[in-house]
Amino acid sequence: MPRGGFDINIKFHKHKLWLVKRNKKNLVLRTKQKKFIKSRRTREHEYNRSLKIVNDYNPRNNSFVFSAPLVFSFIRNASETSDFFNKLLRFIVDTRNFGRSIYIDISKISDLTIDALMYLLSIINNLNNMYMGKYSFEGNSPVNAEVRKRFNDSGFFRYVKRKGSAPLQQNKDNLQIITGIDSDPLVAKSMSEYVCRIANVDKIACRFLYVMMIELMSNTKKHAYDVYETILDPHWYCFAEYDNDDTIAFTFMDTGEGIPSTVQKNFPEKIDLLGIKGDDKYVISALDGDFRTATKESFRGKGLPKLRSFCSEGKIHNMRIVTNKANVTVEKNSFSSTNIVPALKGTLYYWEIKLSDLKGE
Amino acid sequence: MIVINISKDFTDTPGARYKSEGEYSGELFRETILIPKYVEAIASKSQLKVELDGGYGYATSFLEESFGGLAREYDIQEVLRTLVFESNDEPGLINEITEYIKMARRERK
Repeated sequence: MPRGGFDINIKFHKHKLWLVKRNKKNLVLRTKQKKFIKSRRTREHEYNRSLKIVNDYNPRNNSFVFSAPLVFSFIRNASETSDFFNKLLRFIVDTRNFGRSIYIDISKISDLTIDALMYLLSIINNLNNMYMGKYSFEGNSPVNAEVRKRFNDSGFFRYVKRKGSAPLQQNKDNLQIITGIDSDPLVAKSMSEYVCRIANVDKIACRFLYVMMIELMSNTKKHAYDVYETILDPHWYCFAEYDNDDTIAFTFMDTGEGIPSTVQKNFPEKIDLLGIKGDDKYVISALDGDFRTATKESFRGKGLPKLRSFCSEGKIHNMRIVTNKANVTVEKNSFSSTNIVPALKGTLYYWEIKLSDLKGE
Repeated sequence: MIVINISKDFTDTPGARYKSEGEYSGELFRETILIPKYVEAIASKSQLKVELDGGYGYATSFLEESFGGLAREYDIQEVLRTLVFESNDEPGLINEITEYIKMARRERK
């Protein structure tokens, strides 16, 4: 046998052995990988079962579906709306994500106010760094034509990506949702000018509105002392809407901790064993100008009493404040309040201005 | 008499209390405009007139930090003697600011 042929046979045999060895090694690796994936899936199922997650899971989109209440509004349906958002936030905080998304289903809603959309936007865009990016969000639009028009006019799509057709033109009677972190005088100015344009009055007549806007925007940071404790980063959102008659309605929301969480409390109030002092009492106390500022500097905490004075003077009407468990209606000379469960993390202000008041009619 | 017209010399869109809270704050106004003019007025033994008209409005925090803050740094009686306010658009502002200056005393002690 030629010497070269013998060498080739030996080399071929060695190569065959190497291939067998490599395949065995790869098989072990593949088996390990499969076991790992299987055990991770089991862990995920067990974990979710232990949390008793009741949300609908849509395997087609690989997402958890959260359906909004039919009346999607803090102003008209505070408890159910607050409950919806609390479940959503609790889900984001408590669960571990295994590559799934959250689907917000608002298709069935029959009534909508912009405050609920503002809060939804804040959850989508302003989650604390710890939770930001944990879940991606998807959703749909309301089916009801009237509600869908309101939804499109709100400016919601300026802050989220939209699939399909281009956004509709802005309704000129509305000031679409604006958001920010700091106190922004230009936003307050644009709000003031918007009212002046509709009412056809001088800016002096709208000075109180400018003052209100600055006070509320600056409260956003004041009501968010410990940012590490909060789920949402402190942002404010505002919106104005003209009803084509005599009323302009304003909605302002901040995602701070809320007034009752940040006011100064004395010792009996802090422990509140009997639960006598509700959140609404703290809000009323702060509006009345009692020394409640958490900074403990007596020269601060004058913003909320100023808002109250605008109500008493009849410059603003139907003022509502929803914050934590408090749901307070501020009348000209009195307050009415209820407590809602669960609490809203943040503060919502709603008020109306009558054009006839501005014109002095 | 030395004159400050806030809408012309500073801005017609005053903001909140502290510089950290946003643009055109009361703290910024006090440090860059009010205190230098106040010191100038004291040195020349004249009065300092503050014109409040022309702006979009003044938040309580802006006014308190500007004028209450001045009174926390300088003698309150001297501040009250030196400052003169003018507000035709919203005359009630003058009493409000005077209150803030008087209240500043409590914080100093």
